[in-house]
Amino acid sequence: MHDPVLILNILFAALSDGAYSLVVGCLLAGYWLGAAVTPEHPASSVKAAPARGLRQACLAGVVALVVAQLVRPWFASASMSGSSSFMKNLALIPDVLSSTHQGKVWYVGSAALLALLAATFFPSQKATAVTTSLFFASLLVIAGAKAASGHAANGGDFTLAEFSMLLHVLSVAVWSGAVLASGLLVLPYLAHFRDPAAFWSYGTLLSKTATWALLALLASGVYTSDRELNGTLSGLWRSGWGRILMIKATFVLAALTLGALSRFRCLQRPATSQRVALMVRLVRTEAMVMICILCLSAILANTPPAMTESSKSWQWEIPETFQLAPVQPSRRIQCCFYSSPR
Amino acid sequence: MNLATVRRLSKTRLALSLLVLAVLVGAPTAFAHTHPVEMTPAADATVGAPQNITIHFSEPLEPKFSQITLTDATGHVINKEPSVVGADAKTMMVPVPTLAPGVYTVNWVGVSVDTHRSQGDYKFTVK
Repeated sequence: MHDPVLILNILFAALSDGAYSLVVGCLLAGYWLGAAVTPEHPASSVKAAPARGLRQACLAGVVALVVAQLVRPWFASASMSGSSSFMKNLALIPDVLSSTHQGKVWYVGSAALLALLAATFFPSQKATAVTTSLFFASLLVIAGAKAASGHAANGGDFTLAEFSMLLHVLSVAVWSGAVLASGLLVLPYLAHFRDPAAFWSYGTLLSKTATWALLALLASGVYTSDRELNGTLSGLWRSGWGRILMIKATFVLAALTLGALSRFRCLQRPATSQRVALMVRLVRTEAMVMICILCLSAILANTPPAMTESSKSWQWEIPETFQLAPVQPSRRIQCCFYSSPR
Repeated sequence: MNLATVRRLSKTRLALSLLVLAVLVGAPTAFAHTHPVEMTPAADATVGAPQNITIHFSEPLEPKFSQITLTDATGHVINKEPSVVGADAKTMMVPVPTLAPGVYTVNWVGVSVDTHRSQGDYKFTVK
C-alpha cells in the first residue's frame, strides 16, 4: 500500500469509477428532472439551473473517463511487469495493447469512449434518438469493458462471473451516480422552490430507481464476494481484502440507512419544507458516503482476493490433491497487484 | 393502490430478491488469481534428469509476461530457451538441457488476464 504506483493506480481507478457513475447519474437526473418538472409546472423556472449543472458535470465526467483511459495501458504494463520504472513500462505498452486480454478490452473501451465523446460534445439536434441510443450503448460497452478487465476476466469472457460484474458495475453506477447528481446538483436547487411537488416527484423517482439498483447490486455483490472469498467466510476477517470488503459493506449499509430514512421519514409523508430540508441533508450525506464506497471499490479491485492473499513471502500451501510433503520454506509465492484502473 | 396491494408487492419483491441471492450464493466458486496447481517435476521431488519443466496454472496466463527459469545450486540460469505457454493458456513449459545430479530451483512468474502478477519458486533434486 506504500507503493506510489499502486496508490496512483487506485486513485485513477477511483477516478474512472466515480466519473462513470457521475455520467450515468447525470443522465438519469436529467431524465427525472424532465419528468418531475413539466413546462406548465410552477417549478419550471428553476429547472434550467440544475439542468445546466448536470450537463457540466456530465462533460467533466467524460473528460475524467478519457484521462483514466489514457493512463490505463501504463498501469497495466506496471502490473504485468512488476516494475515501477516509468520508461520500462512505457516501452511495454505496445506489447500490452497488441498481445494481451487487457489490450483487447482497452480498444473496445476506447471505441465506446470515443462514441460517448461524440454523443456528449457534438449532440445532434435533428437526431436526438440516435444520440441518446449512442450515449446508452457507449455507457453499456464501457461497463462491459470495466467488467472484463478485473478479477472476473480470469475465468474467460462472456461468463457468469463477467455478467455478474457487469450487473455490479451498472447497479453501482446507477445508485451512486443518481445519489451524487441528485444530492449535490438537483435537490438543493429544487428545495429552494416554495411548492415541494416537483421535489417530491423527483425524490420518488430517485428512490424507486435506487431500490432496484440496490437489489441488483446486492445480488451481484454477494456472488462476486463469494467467488473471490473462494467460498470461505473466514477470508473476511483473515485477509486484507476481506477486511476492506467489510468496511465497504458497512458504508453500503450506512448509505442504505440514509436512503431508507429519505424514503420513510420524508417521501412517504406529506411534503413540508422541514421534510424537504431534511431530505436534502440526507441525500447529500448519502452522496458523501457514496464517494467513500467508490474509493473502497477501487482499493478492493487492486487488492489480492482472500485466496491469494499474501505477504511478501507468503508460504504457498499446495492443494491437498497435490500435496506431497509439508510446506517447505523453499516454496514461495509472491503477488504484485498493480491492477489497471477499470 | 391500496395497502394490501403494496404489502403483497413488497412480499413478492422480497421473496424474489431472496431467491436470487440464494441462487447466486450457491453458485460454484472459482480461484481469482493464477497459481500453480501441478508441477513436473513436482516440488521437493527427487527425479531422473527431466527434459522439460512444466507447470499447470489455475487460471489462463498472459504468455508475453509469464515465464519459467531454472537455476542451479549456484544461481546460474540453466535453460537456454524461453518458456512457452500451451494452447490451453494454463500450461507453461520450458525445455532444459541434460541436467547433472544436484538441486535445482524453478522460478516462475504467472500473469493472469486481469494483469495481476504472482511469482514463486520451488526446488527439486536430480539424482
